[in-house]
Amino acid sequence: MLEAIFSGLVIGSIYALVALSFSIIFATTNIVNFALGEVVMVAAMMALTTIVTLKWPILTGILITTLVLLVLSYSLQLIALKRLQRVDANTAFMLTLAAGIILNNAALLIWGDKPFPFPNLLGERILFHIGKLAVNQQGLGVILAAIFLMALVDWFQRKTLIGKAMMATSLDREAASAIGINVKLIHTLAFMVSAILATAAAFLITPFTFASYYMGTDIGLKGFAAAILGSLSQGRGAIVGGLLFGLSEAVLSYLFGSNARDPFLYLAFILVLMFKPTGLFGVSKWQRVA
Amino acid sequence: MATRSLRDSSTPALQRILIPAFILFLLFIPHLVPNVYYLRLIQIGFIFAIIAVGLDLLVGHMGLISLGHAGLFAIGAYTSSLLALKLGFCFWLSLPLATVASAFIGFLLGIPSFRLAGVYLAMTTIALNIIVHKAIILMPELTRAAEGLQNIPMPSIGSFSLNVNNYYYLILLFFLATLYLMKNFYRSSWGKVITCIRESELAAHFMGNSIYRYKLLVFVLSAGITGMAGSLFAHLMGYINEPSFTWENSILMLLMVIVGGRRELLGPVVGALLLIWLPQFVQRWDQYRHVVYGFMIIFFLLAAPAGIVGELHLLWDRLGYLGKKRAPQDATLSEPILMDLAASSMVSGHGALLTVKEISKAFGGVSALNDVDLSIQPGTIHALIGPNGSGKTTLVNIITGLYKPDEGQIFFQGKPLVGLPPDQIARMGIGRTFQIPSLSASLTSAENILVATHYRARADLLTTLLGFPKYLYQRKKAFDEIYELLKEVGLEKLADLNMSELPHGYQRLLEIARALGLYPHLLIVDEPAAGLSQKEIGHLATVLWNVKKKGIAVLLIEHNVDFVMSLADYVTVLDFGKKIAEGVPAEIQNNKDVLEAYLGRRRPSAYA
Repeated sequence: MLEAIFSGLVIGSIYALVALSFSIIFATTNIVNFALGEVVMVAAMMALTTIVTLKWPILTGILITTLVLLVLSYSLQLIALKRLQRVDANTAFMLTLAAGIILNNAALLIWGDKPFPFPNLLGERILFHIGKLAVNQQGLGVILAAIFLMALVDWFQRKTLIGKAMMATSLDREAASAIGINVKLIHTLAFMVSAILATAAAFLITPFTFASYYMGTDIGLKGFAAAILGSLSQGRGAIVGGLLFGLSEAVLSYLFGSNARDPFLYLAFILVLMFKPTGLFGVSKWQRVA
Repeated sequence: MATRSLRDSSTPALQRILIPAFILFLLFIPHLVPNVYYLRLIQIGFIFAIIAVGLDLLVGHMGLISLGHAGLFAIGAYTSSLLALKLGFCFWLSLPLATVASAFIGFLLGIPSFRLAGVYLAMTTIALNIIVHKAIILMPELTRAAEGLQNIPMPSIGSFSLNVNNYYYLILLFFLATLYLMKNFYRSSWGKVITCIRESELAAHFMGNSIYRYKLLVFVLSAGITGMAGSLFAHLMGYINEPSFTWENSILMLLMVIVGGRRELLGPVVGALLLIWLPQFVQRWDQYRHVVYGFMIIFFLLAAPAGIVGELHLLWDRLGYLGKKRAPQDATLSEPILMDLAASSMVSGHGALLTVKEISKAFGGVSALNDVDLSIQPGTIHALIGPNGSGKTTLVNIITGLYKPDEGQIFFQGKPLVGLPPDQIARMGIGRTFQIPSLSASLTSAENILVATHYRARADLLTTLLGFPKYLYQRKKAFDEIYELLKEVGLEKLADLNMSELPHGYQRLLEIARALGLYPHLLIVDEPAAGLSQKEIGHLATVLWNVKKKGIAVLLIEHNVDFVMSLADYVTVLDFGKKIAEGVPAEIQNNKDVLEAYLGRRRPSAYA
């Protein structure tokens, strides 16, 4: 049980990264980037190609992967948001859904359908024991790396001027625009931050799941569900949602086996929403009627 | 866009010839098809057409995305098959049960989903689909998982058992029936309410319609149709297994609707037939199929958002305009007429109609209303004035149920209002208009009013779907009422014009007519004169005067002081969320506080 909780925290902190990614884009642009899971997959595949296949230095691999992801994320933004003035949230959602399908199947055509092992960059050494639980470098490393990144994003949003501009945009786009915030730039920034978080999530999760064309769908769905569970419009809520999602997944896996894990997980997700429709930490925005 | 009169329920001549001819053609298809393989393929196409029509109800008409219809399809297919195989139920019993099972699961899922914002439904439906799909795999003793359920029987009529050849006619029957039901639904007031919810959710809510219930209803209908299709599918194939029911297939169903055309009756049909039949002829390229699907979604959403049928429809309309010049529309207002409507007679009893007691409301620490009292007498015009930001609209939003006050009570005809949802308050007899006209752009003037009369003048759902004569009678009755309402505001000549073609001033009048459609005892008009020409303001005054003569009290929020002073019986003045004066117009015009508030002379420091 203790091990289940620990591995839940490990996987949960990765879901939290993805959930935060969803929430940053949703909060600033009001759309859901449904291709995000596939973006994580592309990052994993790029990392695999550069670091494992081409045997480039790890740092070069990370750098190139991040660059590719920034470009990819920007293209997604162009597809989904270019006509946002005329396009509603539903259309933007379906556009990113389509982009995700294309990425997924393009990856299948390029890399094939086999999963590839990916090296663990954090090390396997066991650091200390808590009861029967052996805490190793990798597990603790994932948690710490995720916490560090999320704290950085949180600090950036709350303390820096650009971050505050992002928050202002998420509260009221027109008002933000009226006081001179470049809303378009803020949207781009949101997509960039989300791309960086997705890259990090890819590097952290692939040693566990292997790199494959189908890995993104699952991560994307769970990250999205976790964000809704916490709060899609508030970063901190999404992070807690991600951790809870990972924890529940590990505990359900422990109780019912890994095959039956997902249906119970999604059932719990629906049940929670039945009682907390705005997510566990969500506040409904004031509606304004002219 | 061609608009058709609401009163006219007949079918256009062209359709009257084409539809029977096409149905005749469909009946001959089994004789034209070379072998059973293709005949089965055609039937699968029709089954998916049924699903797509049901999905369009949700995606196109309600504007909500589901990515879980393959899960509902599975529930229908497995319920029907298992009932037939394990319990020996006949098809005629298992099909309705499968339909009900899917609808019920849709209902359960809808309960949490429709309290959420739009896009969230996509995730809850995916969750449902994953649960159903995994359940099939995890219960092999029941579902035979990957190897699949086999020997699902064909239906029989008496001792005569159907085969793939004559099963075609059964599917055709269900397909045509689905189209018929949906056509009736979309043309009815139910369909117009759904359209209004999609385009202007709050307006539909304030016109007495529970948004939550209608979303739930639409989802349940859509789920039921999909479950029925699942049953038809299982008995056609005689064999079902889990890969047919992944959530990726839900995306394919969504694609059918987008490609064919949302909100066109035949759009999803065309989309479904194309996407089921075409891949069979290009199997060599199968590995690129999903990439092509992805690009198709992007292409249609960005370049042809109306879909194949929708874009053809638009083209047809445009050609029609080229061919014949439209008769110039007589856009003049008629003289407003005082109508005597029985239902809106004088309110009985004494005392105030509406009593607002000590209402306070703050938004995030900023006080918008502070201890406000207000009392409206029946049959009077009561004006609420005050500078911008003084809390007038906030008070209206509290009375009509959008906001909950932090403190205070509101009584309407002696009944407390605080805590009731907007639709219920509207049905109790409070109609309202909006500062920025909030009407449905794709509905005609008359149809916009239908949204407000729907709650009391509608045919029940079953009658509507089946298109019984009672439905046509109700429809005519509703229209006659609406015509009277339009006469009251002088818009009856424009009854069948699309609302988006109405000039701004007329939209304000239409909003008043729509609110009167609730048969209210109190009409709240929020800045009705804003943006109106001098002539239109005179017209508006007559309209409001007539409303008062009918015994309906009016709460008038307005900036135009001349207009207010000439119309109002009482005036209440708000400033910075506080009531600063109240009385008959003559008193208010000489009130020192009011003059200060408006002219800004020495603002009291307490409010600074």
